[in-house]
Amino acid sequence: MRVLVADDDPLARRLLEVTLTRSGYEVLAVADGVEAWDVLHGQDSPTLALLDWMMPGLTGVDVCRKVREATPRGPIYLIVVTSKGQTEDVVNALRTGADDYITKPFEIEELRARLAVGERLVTLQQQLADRVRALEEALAHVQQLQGLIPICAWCGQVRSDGNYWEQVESYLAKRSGLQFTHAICPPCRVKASAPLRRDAGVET
Amino acid sequence: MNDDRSVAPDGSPIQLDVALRRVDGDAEFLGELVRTFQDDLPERLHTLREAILRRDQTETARSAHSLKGSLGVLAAERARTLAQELETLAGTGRFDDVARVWATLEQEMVRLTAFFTSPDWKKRPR
Repeated sequence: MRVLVADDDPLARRLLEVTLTRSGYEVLAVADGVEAWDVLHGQDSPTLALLDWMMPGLTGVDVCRKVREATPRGPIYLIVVTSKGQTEDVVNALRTGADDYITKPFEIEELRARLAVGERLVTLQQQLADRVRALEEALAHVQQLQGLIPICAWCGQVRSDGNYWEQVESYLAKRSGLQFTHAICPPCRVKASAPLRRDAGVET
Repeated sequence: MNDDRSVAPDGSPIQLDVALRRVDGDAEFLGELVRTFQDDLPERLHTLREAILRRDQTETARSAHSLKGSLGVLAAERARTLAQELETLAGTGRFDDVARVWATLEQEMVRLTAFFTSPDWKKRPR
């Protein structure tokens, strides 16, 4: 999974870049808040981000706010890295759009655990979004079959949306994905074979 | 001021066990971080000193904050605590106190630099 690291301190940035790469993450590191926003706002942006609170340009909390105000491109998990330990600061960060925070200086194991939580949530959100999309597509098909469908009382054809008359099976196949195989039911078989049997002199 | 809880038990300016834990025990990588820190340090201290002399609250707080972050990575707890104090004092504009803390921080930075200059600093008892 890709993770954005935004920190203006070269040591902290390098530490995160190396340790997270060793943990299997694909790390993209930037040095200020404006660059962080550019990355998160761009195409194919990472789904996890570690944003230092105090950065030039935009703070980590500013970046969180901008991400949440923008049109969502998909799930994203934002962790603010802060040396501010005050409850009101933490509450402010979480209310602004951060999903979690970690206080500097932190233990790398704690950071890995918090990133794992973010990874789980992002994966779940992606799975949920995929499921919703599949359900919406299925629902769209069902909606097309709703309502009154005119059917010819004589030949059994139905009238489609474009005022064309067609066989019931082709009408349903187009709207529901149903597939039909063709067979002859017993009454029809008797009816259809009667002339042949008569011609062959076989009693019915 | 050695009664400070932020001083390592062996009196060294960093808590080596903590610093190594932060890099998953990779002493070579810790050495790389220290070299980066040492290379940038003169310029960072110069910026901070100038800001204090100008009584520039914003720049003093910003520079102290940045230094604090790096010192935290290296587990230089005493220096980090001093940088944090400097940041807080700069925010309130109390520059007489800023000057006092800066003097102590400068001494601690000399001690820290000397420590890292020693070739066997990574082998010190933990």
